[in-house]
Amino acid sequence: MKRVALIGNPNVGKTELFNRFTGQHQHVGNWPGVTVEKKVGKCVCYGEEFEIVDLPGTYSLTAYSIDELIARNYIIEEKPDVVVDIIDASNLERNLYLALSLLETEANVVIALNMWDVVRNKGIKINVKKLEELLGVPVVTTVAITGEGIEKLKEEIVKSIKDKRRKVEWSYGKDVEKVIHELKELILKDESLKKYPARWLAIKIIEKDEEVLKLIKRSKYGNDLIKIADKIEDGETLIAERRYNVIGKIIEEVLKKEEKWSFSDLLDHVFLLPVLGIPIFLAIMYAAFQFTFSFSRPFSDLISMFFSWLGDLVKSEISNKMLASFIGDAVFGGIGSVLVFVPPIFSLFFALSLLENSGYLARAAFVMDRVMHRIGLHGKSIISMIMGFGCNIPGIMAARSIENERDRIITVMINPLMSCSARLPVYILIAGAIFHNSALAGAAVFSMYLLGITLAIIMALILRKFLFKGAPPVFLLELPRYMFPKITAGLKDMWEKGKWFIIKAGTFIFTVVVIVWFLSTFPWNATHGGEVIKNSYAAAFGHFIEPALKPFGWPWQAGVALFFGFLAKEAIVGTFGALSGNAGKAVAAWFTPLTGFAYMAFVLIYFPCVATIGVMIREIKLKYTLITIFYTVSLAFIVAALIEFIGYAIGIT
Amino acid sequence: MIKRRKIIAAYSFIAAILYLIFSIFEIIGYIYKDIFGGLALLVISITFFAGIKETWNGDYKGLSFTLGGLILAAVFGIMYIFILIADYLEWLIGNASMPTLIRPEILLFIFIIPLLFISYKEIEVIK
Repeated sequence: MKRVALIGNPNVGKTELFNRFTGQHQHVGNWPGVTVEKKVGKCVCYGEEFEIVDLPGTYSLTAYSIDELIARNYIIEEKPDVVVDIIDASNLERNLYLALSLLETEANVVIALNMWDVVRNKGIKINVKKLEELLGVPVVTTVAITGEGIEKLKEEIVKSIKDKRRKVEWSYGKDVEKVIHELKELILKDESLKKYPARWLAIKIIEKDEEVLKLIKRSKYGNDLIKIADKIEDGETLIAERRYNVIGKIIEEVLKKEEKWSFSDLLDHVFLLPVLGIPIFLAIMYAAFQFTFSFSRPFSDLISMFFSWLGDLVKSEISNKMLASFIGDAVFGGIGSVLVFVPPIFSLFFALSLLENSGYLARAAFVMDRVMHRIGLHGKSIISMIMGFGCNIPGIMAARSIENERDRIITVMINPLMSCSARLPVYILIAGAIFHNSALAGAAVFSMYLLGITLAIIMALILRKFLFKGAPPVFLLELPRYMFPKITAGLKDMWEKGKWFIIKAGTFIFTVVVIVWFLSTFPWNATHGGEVIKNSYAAAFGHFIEPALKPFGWPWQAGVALFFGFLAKEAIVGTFGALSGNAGKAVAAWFTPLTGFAYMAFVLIYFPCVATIGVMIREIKLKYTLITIFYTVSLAFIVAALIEFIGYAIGIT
Repeated sequence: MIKRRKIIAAYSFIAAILYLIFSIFEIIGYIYKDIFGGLALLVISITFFAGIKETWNGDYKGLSFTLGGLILAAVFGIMYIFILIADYLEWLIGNASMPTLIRPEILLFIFIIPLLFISYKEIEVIK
């Protein structure tokens, strides 16, 4: 029995076509070894019986998702007699990507231009004959829902089994073609690789396709093939770009659209421009940033004031001072320190939800992907990084929109290096105290932001190279239509995404606040109930870690401040004040410009705050959180040491 | 239709100039010091500028820049209205002094509201 496979992008009407072919003669099971649904049916066309296999919906034939891999392996390994590529004719450009990938496999392809009714209604003109000529395969127009064109399609399937398709190849440019040629020569020499289409295999080697690389490693020419392919830098992106160039040329020849622009077309004409798209994206992110942190501020202050008032009330009403301190400072202080984060987090999710529902977020990822790809990150990583400047927690949570798990984890792991707003008071205090020139102090503060970005890029490259090997996937993105975002949907999204923070991260933060209360108020008599912090266990801890800080020229108070900075980075300023009475004067006395600057860098890099750690555990699990803690602490020591070493080397004291 | 496009082009030109002036003011700290806010205004100004010639010549593609600029201007205008409300709240709870200065983004947004309506009518026609 002849076999016919149906393939196509998701939502192109593949299922309707499958039902048209098979009627009630269907069998639904799973593909071997996976839980992806496999649908098989039977169809009699012009006296001949066919087995119809419905392949999973896919945008390309790479090896990134299980769906793509199933579809590809079936075509390459099982070699069906005919592959029907179902194309959404109203979205020809996007759908042709899969069609070209498919033709490279040398499969016997018949193209069904489905949704032809939509094409007619939109006034789009497609030259079907020209498309046939350019692709070298039969092209049939269909409307699967009504059955229009199905008989013609069946006819073409039967015909194409008898008359194999005309081979049409398109050029990927001289540089790439030369490498393809060299690879093909070597592939054809190897018996084990002969069963695969040589040109397809060569292209996949250039694209560094993981599955194909595994395959050629077993070949005696494996290393030579990789060496040849390495002549092309970032082959995957290059091939995708050139393939789109080919598609562009095909579209130019076959498609004639009446000059009717939709609202989305008009906006995309501006928002997707390479020159203007990035500045517009940055401006919109700045707006989201401002909204998140400026709009939420009074609400956070109200929460903070309320719990502070509650704490004072409890302390004045409870005669047992230790119990009063515990309830007032630890319990209410703890709850307050969790809830003050709620307004910025909810504001962020509301802003992001509006951007997402409006259709802009997909464009933002598209615009930034090229830049981020170069540093081993995903287009959507930029949103998380920018949000991290306000607060690392919403920054980390914004990474949820990244579908690829590896990209998401890298994005989360580098987020603590984004200098959050809590670190700003620390910079201002230290820079203001150690640099008497205000311009120099301003430059020192700004340099912290630049240092954070630079280290984040370096760490992203390192993590990509050693922990999450492989380039970030070239992502195909369907741009949804722009829509006016609904406020109610935004509020619902905000609540759904934000509520877990109160439940999960909140309990963790609360526990740590109680521990820190204990460390800073005990031994009770020695600290006079937390009033004399230098006698506390926390101070003892400061003295304990003093040897580690001494080479940097930092006093033990700096160690205690770092310890409290673990709770929240802004606590460093308060601790300096509590330990000295006048933070500015004390800092000026404790630090030189060089040691102070190194300390600022240390504060930027070391240990994400407790709230951030709580969120990281939830988002990327304990293992990667621990790796992040380890690398941030190590990096903080390395960078601070480097700053001081270079400073001393060039004569700064 | 052509006349309306010329009006849109002229209005966009004035808006672009005003956004440019206020972007410089914010960057250099005259009236309001906000470098990044100033750069955002500059982006809006450039977006308006980019479509003026095409719109003046009757090419509807130029309208896309006006539309883009209008959306950005609305985003910033509305956002700063919310922030102004938040600032008043901050004043009411005694954590800040009373806000006396209205952000230029709000005033500029009010200025471009008529352009929003004229452009909307024109876009409805080409759709």
